[in-house]
Amino acid sequence: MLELIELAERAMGILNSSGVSEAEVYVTETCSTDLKYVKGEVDVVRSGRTILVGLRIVLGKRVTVVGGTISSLSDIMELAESGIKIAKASPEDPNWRSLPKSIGKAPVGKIFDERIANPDIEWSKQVLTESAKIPRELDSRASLVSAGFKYVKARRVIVNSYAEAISDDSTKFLYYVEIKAFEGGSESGFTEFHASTTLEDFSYESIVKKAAERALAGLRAKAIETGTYNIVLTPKVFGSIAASVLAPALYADNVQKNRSPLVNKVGKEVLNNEINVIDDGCINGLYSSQAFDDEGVPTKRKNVFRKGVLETYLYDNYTAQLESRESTGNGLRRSPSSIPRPSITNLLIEPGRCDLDSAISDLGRVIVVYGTIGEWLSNPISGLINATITNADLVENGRVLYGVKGAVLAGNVYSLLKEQYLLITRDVENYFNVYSPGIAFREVSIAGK
Amino acid sequence: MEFGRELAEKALNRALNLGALFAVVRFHANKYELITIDNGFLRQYSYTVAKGMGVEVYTSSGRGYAYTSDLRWESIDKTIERSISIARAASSKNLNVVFEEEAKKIYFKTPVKKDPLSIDPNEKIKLLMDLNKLSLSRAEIASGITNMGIEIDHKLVASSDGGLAESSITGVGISHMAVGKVGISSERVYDSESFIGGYEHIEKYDWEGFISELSKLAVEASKAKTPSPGTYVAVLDNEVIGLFIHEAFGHASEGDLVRSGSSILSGRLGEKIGSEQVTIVDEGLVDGGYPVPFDDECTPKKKTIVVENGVLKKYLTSRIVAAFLNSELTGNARAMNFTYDPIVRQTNFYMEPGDFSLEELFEDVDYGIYLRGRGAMGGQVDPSMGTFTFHVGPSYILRRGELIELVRGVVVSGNILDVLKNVDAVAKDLKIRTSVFGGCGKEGQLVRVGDGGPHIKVRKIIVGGE
Repeated sequence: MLELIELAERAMGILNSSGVSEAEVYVTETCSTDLKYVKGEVDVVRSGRTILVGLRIVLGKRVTVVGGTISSLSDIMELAESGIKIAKASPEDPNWRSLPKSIGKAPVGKIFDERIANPDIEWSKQVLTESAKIPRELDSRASLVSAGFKYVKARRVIVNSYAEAISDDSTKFLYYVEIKAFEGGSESGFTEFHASTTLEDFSYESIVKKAAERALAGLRAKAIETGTYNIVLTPKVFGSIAASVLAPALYADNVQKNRSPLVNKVGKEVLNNEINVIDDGCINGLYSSQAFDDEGVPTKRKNVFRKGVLETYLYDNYTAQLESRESTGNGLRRSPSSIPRPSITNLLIEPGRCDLDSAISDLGRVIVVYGTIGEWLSNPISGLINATITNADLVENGRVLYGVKGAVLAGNVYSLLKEQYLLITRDVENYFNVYSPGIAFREVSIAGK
Repeated sequence: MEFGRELAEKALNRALNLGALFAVVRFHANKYELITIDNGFLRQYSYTVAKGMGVEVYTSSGRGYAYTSDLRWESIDKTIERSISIARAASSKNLNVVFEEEAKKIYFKTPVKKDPLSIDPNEKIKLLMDLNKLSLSRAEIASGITNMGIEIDHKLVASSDGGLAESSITGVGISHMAVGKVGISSERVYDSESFIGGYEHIEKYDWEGFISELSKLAVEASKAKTPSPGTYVAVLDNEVIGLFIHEAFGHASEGDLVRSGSSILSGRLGEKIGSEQVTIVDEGLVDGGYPVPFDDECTPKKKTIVVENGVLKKYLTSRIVAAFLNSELTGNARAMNFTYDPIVRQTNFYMEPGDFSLEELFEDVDYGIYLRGRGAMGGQVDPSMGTFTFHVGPSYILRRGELIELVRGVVVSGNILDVLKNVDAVAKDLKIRTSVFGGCGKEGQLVRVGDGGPHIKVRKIIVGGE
C-alpha cells in the first residue's frame, strides 16, 4: 500500500484525468486497540487498521461524494467511476460555488501521544486489575463489573483541486469503568469515563473512586413526587445535554433550513448574561482539537455566546458560501464518504466562580443530578429536553437527604439557560468534545411517582 | 480483491497452524447508497463501499480479535498473526467456548427482482424530489428532509468447528422528516419505511400517502401541548411496544450483560418477571424484520423463547457467553462490521400476540395515554438497574376509551420489571418492522434489527412533560 499522501495525490490524478471540474480527496488511516475487562480478567483484546477514502466529485454544479475502504488504487478507480456516473445523473445544485479555494493548518499542540499510538498492553492490563481492587477497598458492597480501554491513532490527508495535500496525526484515548453496589435486595450501578487526546491527566484511581461512590449512593435512591424542583446538573450531564440540544441549533445548515430555534437570533440575548460559550478547534490538547476541519479549512476559536448574546452560527464551506462569508472551520464528516456538515469542534462553556459543593450548599433544597439516560434524544428543533434521572441526590442545605432515581426531568433548554438559570460552577469536565461546568436551574419540572 | 470460501478456509487453517484452539473468520462487504433531498435540493448522493475481514481466535491464554480493510493475502496473514499475539497477551484464566454440535452450512440470499443500485440515479432522485416537494407544499411545513437508503450486505463466516455461512441481504427504504411550524412553535416528526428486497418494493408502496400523513402530523404536533407529567394508564401501539421490548427488556436479556453482572435479569432464570400475558421471543427470520439466518460466529439463529407466559426462560448468547452461563448457543453474536468483534445482540426481538381485540384494550381506560410510535426518536436503558426511557411520537390523551387530545414531546420512563408485571392486556395484531436507516447501538456498534409486537395495555407508566 502506498504512503497516505501519495495515495491521496494519485487519487487526485485519477479524478483530474476523468474530466471533473473540481475534486477533493480525503483519506484516513485509523489504527485502534481495545481491551475489555469482565469478571476479573481481560475478556478480549481487539486491534486493527483501516484505510478509508472519500472522494468529492464536482461536475459544474453537480456534486457527489463516494467513498469506502480500499486495498489498492484500483478500488479508488472504481469509486471514482461510480462517483462520476452519479454526478452526471444528479441535478445541479444552484447554491454550489466551489470547494475551499485555500486549505491549511492552524497551530495546535498536544493532540498526539506516543503512548496511545503504541499502547502498552501489559500496563493496560495492570491498570484494569488495579481498577478492580479499588471499589472493594472503598466499601465491600461495591464491585467492578466491567472496564476497558480504547486507543486510537489517526492520520488524515486532504487535497483538492486548488491546493496541495495537507495532513495531520492525532490520538484519542478512552477509559471506562462500570461499578455496581449491592446491599440486601437493593442494587445500584454507575459508569464513569475519561476521554482525551493524551494520557497527561489520566488518573484511573479518581475515576473508579467516583463511580464507586455514586453506585453506593444509589443504594439509598428512591422515587420522588412529581413536581418542580431546583436542580444542579453536574458537568458531564450538562455536557451531554448541550451536545444534543444546543449544538445542533448552532449549525448553519439547520439555521438556513429553519430547523433551529436560533434563526434570526444573532446579536440577541438568548441565554443568561453570565453564560459564555466558545467553539475552539485549535486549542491545545482538547478532545476534538485538530489543525484543520474535514475539508481542509484551518480550525478557529469563536465566541458563540458572549454574555448570553449569540455571536455566530457554525459554518462549513458550503453554508458559509451561501451567506458570502468565510467558513468557521466547522466542516466535519460522519465518515469519509459523507458530505462535510457544520458541527462543533470543542464546545467550551466557560466556568463560573463557585465550586460545585458550595453551590449545592447555597441552593437550599435541590436535586443534584449525576447520571441520566435518554438526554441525547432531546429535540434540538424545539429545544425541549427530556432526560431520565438514573443517579441523583436530594440535598437540603448541603446535607444529602436521600438518593433519587427513576424520575424524568423536562424543560426547554433556552428557558433553562435564561429565565430558570441560577448559577454556573467552576469545576469543568469533558463529555467527549463538550467541556462544561456544573449548572443550576430553578423550578424544573420533574415527573416522578 | 473479492473474498470466497477458499480464502476463508485458508485463513482458518493459518490461524489453527499458528496455535489457535478455535477460530472464526469473517469477511464482510457492505454497499450503501444514501440520497438526501433537503428543502427541495439534492443535498447528498453518496455511495460507500466498506469491505474487510476480521479473525477471532481463542488460545490457551485468551481471546483476540484483529481486522484489516486490506484484503490482499499478505495483509490477511499479518492480521491473523496479530490476532494470535494479542490473544496471548490477554491472559484470561477461565476461557471456554461452546461448539456447534453439528456444524452447519448455510447460504441465504434475499429475493431481489430489481437491483436497487442499478436503477437510474435520475429515477431515484426524481421520486425523492417529488415527495420532498409534496411535504413542503403543505402550509405550515417549515422544512423537510427526504432520504432514500439502499444497502447490500454480503457476509461470509467460517468457523474452525466446520461451520460455513454466507448471506447476501438487500434492503431499501425511504425516510422523511417534516418540521412543522405554527407561530413560534415547531415540532419535527420523522418516520421511515424499509423493505428487505429490491427496488420493486419502492415502486409499489404508497409514498405519497406516507409523506402526506407525516407532514399533517408534524403540523398538528406543532400546535399540540406536552402532556402533564405523572403516572398514566397507557396503551402502547405496535411500534412503541417494539421500542419498549427491545430497549427495556431485550438489552437486559443479552447474556454478556448477565455474565458481567450488568443486567437486572442476572440470576433470574425460571423466575416470574412479567404478567401471564407476556411471551417474548428473538427470531432470526421473521416477516417484516431484518434477516439474520446465522450470527457472526457461524451459529445458526434459531427462534429463542426468552420469556414464556411471564417466566424468564433464556438469555441470548454468543459462544463465550454460552460457555460462561452454561447455556445453549442462541446465535446472537453480532458485529457492526469487520472492525468489531461480535458481542451479544438482539436480532428480531418481539412480543408474541395475545387474544384481545384493539377495542377491548381501549374501552376500559378511564383516563390514560395512547403512546404512538410514528415519530418516535428512540430510547435508552440502564440494564443494570432496569431503568428505561424512550421518546415516543405524538400521542393521544385518552378519556373513557376515546382519543381526546394530541400531545407532543412525550417521554416515557420506568423500570422494566414493574412495567412487564403491569401488562394486563395483549392484542392480536402482531407487526414487526426494520429500517435501513438505523438500528440498535451497543458499545459503539450499530446493527440492523427488527422489533415490534401487538398493541398492549399497561396499568401504569411514568410520562414526562413540561
